[in-house]
Amino acid sequence: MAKLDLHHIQKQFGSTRVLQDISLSVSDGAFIVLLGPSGCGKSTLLRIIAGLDVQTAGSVLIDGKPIDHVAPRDRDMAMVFQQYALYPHLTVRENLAFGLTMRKEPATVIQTRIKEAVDLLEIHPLLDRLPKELSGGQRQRVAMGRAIVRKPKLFLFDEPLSNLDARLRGTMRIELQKLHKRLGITMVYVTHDQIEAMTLGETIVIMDHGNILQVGSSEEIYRQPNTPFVAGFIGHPPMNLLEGNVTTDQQTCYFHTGNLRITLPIHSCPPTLTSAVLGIRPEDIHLTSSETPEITISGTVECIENLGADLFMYVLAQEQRIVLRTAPGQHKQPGEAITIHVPRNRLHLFIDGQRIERNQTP
Amino acid sequence: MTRNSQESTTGWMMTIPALAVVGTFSLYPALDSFLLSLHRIYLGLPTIGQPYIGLQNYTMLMQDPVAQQAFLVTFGFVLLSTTLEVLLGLSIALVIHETFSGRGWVRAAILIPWAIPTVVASQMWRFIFNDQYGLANLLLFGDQVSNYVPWLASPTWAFLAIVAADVWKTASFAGLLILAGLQVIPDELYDAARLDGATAWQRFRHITLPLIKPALLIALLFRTIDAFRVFDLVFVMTQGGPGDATQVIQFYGYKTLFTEGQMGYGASISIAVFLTLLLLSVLYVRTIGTTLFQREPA
Repeated sequence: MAKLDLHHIQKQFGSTRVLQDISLSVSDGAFIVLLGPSGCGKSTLLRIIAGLDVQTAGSVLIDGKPIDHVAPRDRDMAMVFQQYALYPHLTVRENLAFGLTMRKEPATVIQTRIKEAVDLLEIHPLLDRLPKELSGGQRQRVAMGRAIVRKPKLFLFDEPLSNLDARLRGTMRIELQKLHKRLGITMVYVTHDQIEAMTLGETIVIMDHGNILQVGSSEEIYRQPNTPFVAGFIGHPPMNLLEGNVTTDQQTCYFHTGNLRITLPIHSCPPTLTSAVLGIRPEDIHLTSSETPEITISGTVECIENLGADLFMYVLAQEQRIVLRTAPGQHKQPGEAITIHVPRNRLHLFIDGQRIERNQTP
Repeated sequence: MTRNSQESTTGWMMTIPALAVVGTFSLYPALDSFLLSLHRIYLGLPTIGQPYIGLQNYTMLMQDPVAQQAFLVTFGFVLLSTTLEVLLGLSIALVIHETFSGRGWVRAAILIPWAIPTVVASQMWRFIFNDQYGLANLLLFGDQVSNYVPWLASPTWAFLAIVAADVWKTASFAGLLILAGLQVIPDELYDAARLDGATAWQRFRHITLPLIKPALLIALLFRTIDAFRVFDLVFVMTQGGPGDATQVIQFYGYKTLFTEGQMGYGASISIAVFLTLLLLSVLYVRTIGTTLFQREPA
């Protein structure tokens, strides 16, 4: 059990800066997910925490103490790798025992720990097999087991589910949550999969280009994305981001794109023609008018995608494509004219790449 | 003609050139050597003809003390040089597997000895071990000429000298084979082992070594077979001397055949070498093919 702090971590590979200035605090027993597209620096950050890579500047602290000069083997962390990294020449039992054997733990301790992990993960029948005789899901469990037997202070996961098929990934997500509840160990989990992040993380850290863009619960990140990037990264289908300008007319502030003009509920308007982005979640778009104050946009249906439970309709409006989510049966056919309705309180506005709250001064 | 037989005819046609080469240059000479070994032939005594004598050459070979000594020297040479080559090759492989600036140059430099023709290299080593102007003496004793050692005139030193030359020349080849084995080990395994608490030595002992075992065995196989056929080093450096100290079996066979003109007996020596190597190869391939690969990654 441990509290993890990152102080102004920077990392450069040659002249490429992969981590700009990362500060983050992870409380004891938390499950934190680093989420971002590939190349955003999340895996590098994880490797720096583990000590496998060394940061160019900044400090990693465990329970308030810097561990920058502590070797990986002495950091008391366990990591589950994307490719599992099971030792191919050792049986499952030997793989599980490896860390403890290397640390010269007594045989009885090793036996007990292995039994605990094996019971927890239900991998008893696999003990005498070699990794190559296991399926992907089984390898994943063994890799997890190898981390569990160590009883580390900190669990690190580097995209551990990305090599599994969709169904198995779903099962493993649930098991990981259960595991975290049972062990209560601080976990740092790296993924590029927003569904994994939303379902697993108590706290989600969104990263892009070596920066942290937003830290929050999945609810916060979904409801109040900080930047257009976060807004577009979370949610499926992604949030519609309409690009336009701010215009002023007689003290009223508008968002302007094509023929579309929307009154902005903000106190003081930025200078005219400041570029702005208006975000609308596909699920916030309705096909019928409602009581709440709303905006309406008309366009034509471009195409539809029917997924059974959901139906995505792509609408061309004001030279922009807007996707909306509805139930099958309510949809129109491609080519038909359509009017869509969005409650005003569901609009997301970004000016200069930053979220503007309603009635907030930009 | 059916399509199948047409395909098989084409197949045979395309194989014939290769078969012809193997037949002419490998199969026929081997068979002819075997036939020669069943006859008594002295090049210097054409009058006795070439009588068929069955396996008499082989019984003679079994009782020939010079041949026994030559086999012994050869086995000693194989054992010592192969061991050193694989060990040195492993060190070379470990070094050039690391990333450091100038690695490309180091890799190229290490392969130079292997690229030099053996006869040229042997000549160089003969100069190095020369008792009067050799580099070995100069480096060890400088101008203390009275201490100079006649390396190639001492049975032990001469033997060690050809071992040294062989190790220098071929360790890099063993290294190259082992390097190939090292390069397929995923980095993640080392990361996992570092977090698992393994020290550098433990990572080598418990990860690297077991995983390069197949490569080590292949290096061993190649080097054993190659070392067993050692000839040019001995021919250039020592001519088998002093005495019979460096007379390896191939050199003895050469002398019997070409210096003494005993074509039949010489051929039986060649066949003995051939059979020994065949046996060794089968043993190695069996070992590599079955038990040792069982626990390797697929």
